[in-house]
Amino acid sequence: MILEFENVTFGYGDRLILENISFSIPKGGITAIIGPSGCGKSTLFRLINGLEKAQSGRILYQGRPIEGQKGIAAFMPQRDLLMPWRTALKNVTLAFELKKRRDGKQAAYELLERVGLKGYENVYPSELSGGMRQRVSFARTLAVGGELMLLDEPFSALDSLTRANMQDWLVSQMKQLDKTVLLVTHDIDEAMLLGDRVLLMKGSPVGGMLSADVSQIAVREDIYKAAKLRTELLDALENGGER
Amino acid sequence: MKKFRKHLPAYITAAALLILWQVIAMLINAAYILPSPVQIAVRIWELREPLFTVHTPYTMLVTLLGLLISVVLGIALAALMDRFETAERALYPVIVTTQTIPITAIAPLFVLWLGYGIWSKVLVSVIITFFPITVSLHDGLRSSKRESEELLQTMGASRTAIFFKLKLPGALPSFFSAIKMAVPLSIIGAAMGEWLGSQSGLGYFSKRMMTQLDGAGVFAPVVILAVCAMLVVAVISFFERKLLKWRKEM
Repeated sequence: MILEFENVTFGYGDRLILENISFSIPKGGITAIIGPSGCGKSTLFRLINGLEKAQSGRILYQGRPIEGQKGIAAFMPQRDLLMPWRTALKNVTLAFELKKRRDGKQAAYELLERVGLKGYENVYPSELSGGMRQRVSFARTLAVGGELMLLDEPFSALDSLTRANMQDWLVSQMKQLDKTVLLVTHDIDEAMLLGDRVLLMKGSPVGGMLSADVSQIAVREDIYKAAKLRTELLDALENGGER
Repeated sequence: MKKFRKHLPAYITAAALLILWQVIAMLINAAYILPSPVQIAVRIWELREPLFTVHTPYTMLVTLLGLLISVVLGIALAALMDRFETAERALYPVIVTTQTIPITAIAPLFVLWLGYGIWSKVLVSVIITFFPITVSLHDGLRSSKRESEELLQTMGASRTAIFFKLKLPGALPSFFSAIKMAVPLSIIGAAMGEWLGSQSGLGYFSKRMMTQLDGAGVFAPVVILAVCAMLVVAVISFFERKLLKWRKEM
């Protein structure tokens, strides 16, 4: 297990978000986390990132508490948050600059090529399409490094066609990368298509995770073959996580 | 050429106003009350020697010193207020209050404190200009989004790195707007300081012409002040375009 939540409780003020929640993420592959909006999906990432601290319980990365472990996860936000005054290349090198890595520029060139944006290095974000901007954002996330990647509804701001393209694109990217990905989404189809397993957040406040294996779903059409599972998950989502 | 076309309506308006002015001045026919544009132009030419070799350089020196000090002070104050909330609460109301002081009323005191030399004028200029610079820059620094800051945090950025990589570049557009606003103000401040007590400078020169009932002579330095303000703003705009290339593409 690369990441473990042990009896974690967290809330903002007196509003409890996570209540005594435990689950673990195996190394490798994509785990899709779904839940109704506002249930605390992003809070999970904030806890892993160290932006928030659990009120009780422990979060372990490779068996050790995450406190004091630096650079374990790279985070890709919902909106690209590219800096408009930096070119695509410079937005990627940012991650290397912060780590004071000398060969950042060369590495950033390679990352942009990997995400299919060769030739767009010196273009400003305002001249890129939504899908391209997300790809720069993805390249920046890769530049941050770390074995864990946290993707927070990365395609929710895109139109449906671009979104479908980007989903397929992500699947192909992940095959080439040796990473463990946590993907937060509110879209069941996206979770089933991209994920190897789905974790559904149960209850409000969230008290546990419902787990489903969706590794057999590899292409879009498979979702419909797994219609029964899809319906079950959808029902569970509506009923606060009870199957 | 395209630029000329774009600004054509403004040129026409300006020309029409000048012609109107010329006609009214000719009708009144009393240069000590309202000199005509032509008379002013002639006077500038006649007075070119003292105007351009002594008084304009002096006023520009006051302006640039005032502007420089204001920029340094503005950046320091804005950064301080951005970094420490206590500093913001302690300073912001005071900074706003400085703007309610009628500078013209107390500027003679500055002459008393700092003498007839250049620094009393610089002080007037600074008091007038540091406010827009500080406030705009402060707003600019705060305009960076919280989620961007947090993203940088997750990337391991220190507070200093967040300031220099995110906040400062994000504040540059408001910084330039502030400077462009501050230039005319600092020139007004310089002239006002000279008017109140000086031995050289365009403000002083204008006042001296006033005592001689030389209407065109009063206007001559005023015209030069306006032209100087436009030139300085043009220089700043040039740097703005260079530095903020990314804004063009938006």
